[in-house]
Formats: sequence, C-alpha cells, structure tokens
Amino acid sequence: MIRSRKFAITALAVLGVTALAGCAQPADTGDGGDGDKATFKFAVVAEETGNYAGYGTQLVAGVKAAVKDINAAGDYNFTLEPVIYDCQSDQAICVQKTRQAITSDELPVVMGPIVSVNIVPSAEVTNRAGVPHLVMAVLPALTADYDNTFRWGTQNDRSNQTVVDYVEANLKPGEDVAIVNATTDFGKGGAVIQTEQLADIGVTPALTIGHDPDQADYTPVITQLKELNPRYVLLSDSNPADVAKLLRQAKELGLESEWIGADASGSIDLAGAAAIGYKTVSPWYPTEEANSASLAEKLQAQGIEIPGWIAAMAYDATLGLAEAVATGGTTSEEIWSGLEGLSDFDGLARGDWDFSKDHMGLKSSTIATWNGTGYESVWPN
Amino acid sequence: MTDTLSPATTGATGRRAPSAGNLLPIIGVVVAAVAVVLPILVDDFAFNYLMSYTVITCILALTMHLLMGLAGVFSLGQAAMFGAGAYAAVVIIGQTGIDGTLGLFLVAAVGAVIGILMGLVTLRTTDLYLALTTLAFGYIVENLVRNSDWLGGPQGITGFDITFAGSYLDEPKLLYWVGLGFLYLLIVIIMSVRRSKVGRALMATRESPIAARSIGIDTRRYKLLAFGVAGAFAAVAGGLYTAYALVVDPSVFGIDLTLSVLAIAIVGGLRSMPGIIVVAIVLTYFRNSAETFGASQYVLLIYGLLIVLTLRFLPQGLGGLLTSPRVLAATRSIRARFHGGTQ
Amino acid sequence: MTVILEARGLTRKFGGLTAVDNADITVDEHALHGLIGPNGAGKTTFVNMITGVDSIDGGTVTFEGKDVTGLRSFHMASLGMARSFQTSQLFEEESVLSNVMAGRHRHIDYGFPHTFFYTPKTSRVERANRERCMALLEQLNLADDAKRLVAELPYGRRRLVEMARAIASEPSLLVLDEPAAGLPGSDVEALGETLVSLSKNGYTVLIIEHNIGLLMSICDGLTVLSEGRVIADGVPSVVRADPQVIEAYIGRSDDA
Repeated sequence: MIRSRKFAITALAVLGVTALAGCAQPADTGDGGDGDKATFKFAVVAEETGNYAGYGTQLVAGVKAAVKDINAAGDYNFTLEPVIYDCQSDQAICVQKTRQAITSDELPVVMGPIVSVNIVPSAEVTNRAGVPHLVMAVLPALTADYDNTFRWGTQNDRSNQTVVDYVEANLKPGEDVAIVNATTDFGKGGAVIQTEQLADIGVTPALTIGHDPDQADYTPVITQLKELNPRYVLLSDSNPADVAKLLRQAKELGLESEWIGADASGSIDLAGAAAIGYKTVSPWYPTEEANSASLAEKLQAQGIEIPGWIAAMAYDATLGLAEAVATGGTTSEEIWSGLEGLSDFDGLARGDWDFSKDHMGLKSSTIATWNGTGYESVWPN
Repeated sequence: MTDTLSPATTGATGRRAPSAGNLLPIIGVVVAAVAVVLPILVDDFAFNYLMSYTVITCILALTMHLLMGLAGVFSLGQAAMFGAGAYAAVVIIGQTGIDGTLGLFLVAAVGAVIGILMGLVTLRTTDLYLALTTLAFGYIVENLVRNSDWLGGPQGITGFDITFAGSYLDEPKLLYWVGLGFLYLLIVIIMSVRRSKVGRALMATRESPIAARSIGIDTRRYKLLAFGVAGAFAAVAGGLYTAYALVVDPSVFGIDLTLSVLAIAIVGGLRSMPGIIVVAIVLTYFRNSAETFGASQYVLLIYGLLIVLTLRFLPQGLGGLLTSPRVLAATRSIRARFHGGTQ
Repeated sequence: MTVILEARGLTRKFGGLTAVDNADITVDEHALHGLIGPNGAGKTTFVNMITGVDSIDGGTVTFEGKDVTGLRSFHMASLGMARSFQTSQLFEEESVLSNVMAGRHRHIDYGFPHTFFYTPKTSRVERANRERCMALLEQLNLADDAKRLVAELPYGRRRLVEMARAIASEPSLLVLDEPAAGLPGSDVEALGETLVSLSKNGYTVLIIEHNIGLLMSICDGLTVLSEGRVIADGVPSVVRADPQVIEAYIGRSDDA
C-alpha cells in the first residue's frame, strides 16, 4: 500500500517535471524585428501534435524556412510572421483554430491543415468567410468545392496522369501493365482513375488486383503478378506498411516488374533494400539537383530529418503568398487576387506554379526512383 | 413487535448516503442563468464557438453519466449514436430541409432507436464484454456509413446548412443557446429520473440485477430505457456538432471522441453530474488552449494521467469529493464555525 | 382456506443430476409455511423455480389461481411474489431507505411525464412512498439507520433490510431463503417473532430453512425435501413424527 502510493507519487512527480519541461520550451522569437517595416501576419493551422504530427511538422517547417529566407532577403516592404496554430490532429480543434485565426485574430489568409478530415471543415470555415486558403491536400474535391482554396501541390488525378504519361513514354509493344490497389477509398479511387487514363492511351491493364489493408501476407498477390510478369505494376495504396510488405514480398518471390506508386511516407524506410528501384510519384523529391538539395538543407535546418513534399510545397506556398501580398495587398480580397495573379511563378521546389486559370497550382507531378540512398528523378526527363 | 437484532449504531459517526446541501440548488440556478447570458458578456465569435463545442461535449458526457453512472452499463458505444445523430441531422435538416426545431427531435428519435438497438444486441453481456460489444457496434455503424455512397462514403458530406427556427446554426451564439437548451433538458431529466421510480429502478439494476428482479423491476426494460435516452441525447450532440464542424465524415464515429469523453466522465465522477460538467468545461478549454500552456504534446498523456490518478486516489471522481465523508465533515465544521462567528 | 401457491411435479435437471424431482408444495393464504430439508436437498433450486429465478424442466406453478409456470422473476414479483436471497442481495452503496423504497416499485404507478419531469404528482407520490417506507422501518426498528449506507451495517441488520425491502412491496406471498443463516441464537429468536407477527398481520410467508427447530415452533405447515424429493408434508407435529423425516435428519440434533 505505502510502497504503491510512493510509486504513484514518484511517477506523478516525474511526469509533472516532463510536462513542465515542455512548458519551458522557448517561444518562437519572430525574425521580423525591422522597425521601419510593416509586419504581415498569416495563419498556419497544422497538425503539429497527435496522430498526424508527421504531416503538420513538415508543413510548419516549410513555412518557417521560407519566412526566414524572405525576411533575410528583405525584398519586400514588409516582414512575414506566421501565426502557427497546433490543431492536435483533432477535427474539432482544427475547425476551432481556423475560426479563431480569421475572426478573433483577424488574419486575412490561412494555410493548412493537411489531412482531409481536418482540411475540409477548415476550408468550409474560410469559404464561408471569404478568406483565401492555401492547401496541400491531394483530394480533388477540395479545389472543386471551395473556390477560396489554392492548391499548392498536385491532386490525385494529376499524379495518376503523370504515372500514365510515364508508362505511355516507356511501355514497349508486348509489355503489360497491372494495377494493384488497396480496397480503401484512396486505393479504389486511384485504380479507377488509372484505368480510365490508361484507356485514353489505348492500354488495358492485364490484371487488376484489389487487396484489403493490413494483411500479413501478400503472397497470393505477388504470385498472380509473377504469372503475368508485367513491365509495370501501378500501386494505389496509402498505407506505408502495406506498401513495404508488398515490395519486400515481391523481391523475395523474384518478381521483376517495376512498381510505381504514390508517396506513402515511411514505406521506403520500412521496405529497406526491397525499396531499391521503387518509383514514386510526388510533386517534389530531395534529390542531388541543386535547387532540391538546397531546399532539403533549409528544411533540415528547421528540424525535419527527412524533408518530404509537404514541407517543400509549404515553402513554395509561403514564397507565393509573400509575392501575392506584395502585388495584391494585405486584405483577404487583395491576397486572393494576388494569388490568382501568380502565373509561371518560380518557387524553389517547383518552377511552374500557375493559379491564373484555376486554383490547382501544378499541372503534373514528378516521378523518382529510390536508389537505396536517395531519389533519382526519372520523369519528366 | 420486539426487536433484539444487533443494536443500531448511531448515525452521527457512520457514513451517510450522499445528500445535497441547501445551497447547491441555488448555486445551480445562478450558474445556469449566468451560462445563458455568457455569450452576450463575452462577445467573441471564435470563443462563442468554443462555448458551443463545450456544451456539446457536456451533453455527450452526461449521456455517459446516465448510462454508466446511473444504469451501470459500461458502454463504449456512444460514438455510434453521436455519429448517427450527426449524419441524421445532415440528412434530415441539412438536405431534406426540415427545420431544426422539429428536425433535432427527429435526430433524437434516430439516436434513441439506435441506442435501443445497441441495447438489445448487447443485453446479454456485462462488464468487459459489454464494453467490447458496444465498441464493436460503433465500428459496424461506422463501416456501414463509410460504404454508403448516399452518405458520402469515406469523404462524408459537405455544403449543408443546419437551421433552427429559420436561422442558420453557423451563428455561434444561437448554436450555443440551442445546445444549452438541450443540455438543460437533459439535466432536468436526469435530476427528475434520479429522484423517481425510474432512478431507483436504474440504481437497483446497477447494484444488483437479481435483487432488482426480485422486487418486480424488469432490468432489461430499464437498461433499454437508459440506452434509448442516452442515445437520443448523444445523437442531438452529434447533430449540433455538424453545425459546429460544418462537415460530416466517418471520423465522427472515431474512438478518440469516446475516449476523451470517457476521460471527462471518469475524472468528473461517473455518478456526479456537477463533477462531469465542471471537468467537461475545464478539459475542453484546456485541450483547446493546450498550445498556450505549451502542453499540446502532452494532452493525451495528461488525459491518461488524470484517469490513472483519479482511479487511484478518487475512485468516485472529482464529484465524489462533494459527498466524501471527510469533505462533508470539513464543510460542517466550517459552517459551524462561520455560524458561531456571526451570531 | 384459500390456496395461494400450488406447485405440482416441479422438476429441474442439471446435466445428469436431478436436483428437484417431481416435487409438490401447497401454501395456504395467511399461513407461515416452512420448506425444510438437509443441505443439498434442493430447497433453493425448488424456490428458484417457483419464483422464476431458475427455469423449469417439468411441472406447473399456480399462483393466486393463475398459471405462472415459467414466468421470469420480475414478472412473478410484479404479481406479488417477493423474496429474499440466501446470500444477501442488497443495493450496497445506497441508503437503507433507498433500498426499501425500491421495494415499492410495483406500487408506484405514475407514468412517463412524471418520471422525466419532476411534477407535483411525482413529488406527492414520492413523499407518500417515503413516509410509508419510514413507517415500515420504524416497525422493524430500522428507522435510525434509514440514511446509512447498507454496506456498513452489521450482518443481522442487513438481513433485516433485505426482509424490509421484500415486505415493502406488500407481497401476497413472501418467500424468505434461509433468513436465519449466520445469525446468532438470540437474533434467530427475534426473527421468529418477526415472522409470526408478519403472519398475524395477514402476510403469507414461505420460509426456507435447514434449521428445523425454528420452523417447528412457528410454522402452520411444513414441506420436507430430501435429495430433491418431497418426503413429508403437513402440520409440524405430524411431520416431526414421520419416520422418513427422522431418517433424513439422522445424526442431526433438532436445533442444529
């Protein structure tokens, strides 16, 4: 009794100290100390903690890296200051923080959050208020339903089109294409789009296999593929563990097809050596190429170990926002029109941003191969 | 008749059953009145929204009080009714266009039916098995919705308006007041039930089903009643949540919500309505403002810690403090001293 | 005299074991009827069948002229058959008064709006209910403990609370399963007096005991069960002389 109470109190003390240590983390000191320049504040709502912290921290790192660079360059007559709201990966809090940002805190523009269950209600809030909203999500419905959203990324169907373009350029007569998809909404949707887009280039997938998520053994899938031995296996699966399992078992069973799939973050790490040769489609990769390498370095300086496309897109989005503010102005309407004025805008991650015709930012994605230590860009070549 | 059974010990030293002090009802009414005018006093759009979310959380937490605290049914399936209510509100009010004044009661009816269904399915199970079965029930409903195209599938439904008496519920003050109305209705029902026949029947069902049946209480009926009422109000909470979140998707069935409300109910005290309400307000505010305290990484840790500490040191929750013998003795002595000083 | 309870040919099997075999019992109105038998004779199973707690494999139960075979226990109770249990089944974390008030469940007849909204009617009925229960506690000398939690009462008083709860339901038949079990001698005597007084006040009581001495002195009728069968039935003086009963109780003194 006494011992267990003592233990409980000790545990409480330890946890209390840990919690306090968290409190004691120094608050961000804004870089914008220039007395003669106005400060432009904008909202970043991000899943910094909770289940989707992996995405939210990428978003915040991208923004911070860009703000640092913009303020240091001093090209504009204002300094940028992001107001970052951690919405804890919780829908209700993401909605609440977005509301707080645009009403109580009177910020004219919002960026984030990332995950669709959070970004959709958040966009609903900004849409009703007529506030421009910079988003990275891949969900096509976002820019279709909310005219105030500006997509700094590539949406699903355009990524799939990129894959199909690559197949069209490389597929030789007599070679087959197979589709493997998770029986999730992402997987099924992707398979349907790819099938349609392949039909447009006159290719019929020789095999389409749906698999349930979280299976332990994908041998039946691989066996089926081996019988056909297609040149390409187009994979629509957003579960990193499943992607890794498929790749590992394909290697073990000696399947020689090339896999092309969406960027399920973490799958490369999980698949280890089996990921060598795996082609992923994404708007950006950290590669040897100069711009990419320098961006990756900036993002790493913000504490991101493995920079991903979300951080890169956030970096470009922040550059674009600063440009829109400079050309348009600082109110919501002015930023909106400033963003729509961006055409052929050069970011660091991508050099082909265009919001003048629609709000979908990018026309296409890129494909890169994992070589065991890094990515090698293979498309567009 | 003579009685020489063991002599009665005097009541003064013994533990007495909880009884509310005279001051409590007055405090309750004052707090309730302040709650009504609060959004006028604190006129901030986002904060008013936070208040409405707090009220929604309170309603959901009190349904757990009703089910677990009063009926003794350890159900983890409240998310099923909350989610069903959310979708029902979008379909009935948002899409069909029936005004919320009627629509929210239809939503409650949907919740009651689903609650009773869950009750029927899980009636034969108790304790851990009941918790697991109700949890599974929630997953089943979630999967049905996720695979129903007319309910928007995994993406859910967006672009609807929830109205109440002709006004849009995206006005946070109105949403708050409507929520508060349902919260007060639930509080009145719980308070009435506790002091009436049904309350005793629920108590009997919870404390000893065998004894309950031996005095003519149909325990199944009362369990189902509890499931029905809890389901109705959980559904209303879900319906109001759609007006708060502006979208509805299968995440409303998530386990996160159940767990955070369960944390509120346990820390507040499953048997204590005031305890649960206070903790619901404090924890909702804390979680939302965790960032300002620099504690957002630790929110779930803190929730877990609170549950462990509560179960270890205050098994009846914070609300249990109100009726704990030591605290009662302390208040008595303070009151006595106070009276001595003034007279 | 009117027969209030009649069970014919009741049988209950657990696997290959027949716990109660073709047993009959008849209880007259206003009688104090005893059901006795050595440990393991099947008394509790027999009573559980009669009161609907256990299911019946064969036979019929007639209560107040109605066939009630196989009805569930809450239904039996709502018809007026209240019972106590061998191992006490109380609402431990509740007050004595609240336990006893719950016993009046079947007599409180206000409906929906009055339970969900505490109306003047609810208030009136509840006050009357409380007063009746306090009067009963008064009679059973439990009034001082009315607000105490059952969990902290001494054993003897807990048994009394359980009986009070059953009496509160104003049953036409009160079934008590070994009320004297575990009570010290002086308390058993007091219990006997309470039972007799109940019977004088017009209650019908069926009391289950293995303590044959207590029942011999107070009962109007006795049924003796041994190894699941009824071996004797009648007034105490006749039953006492029955050779089969003596055989069943061989080696046991009467007041064991």
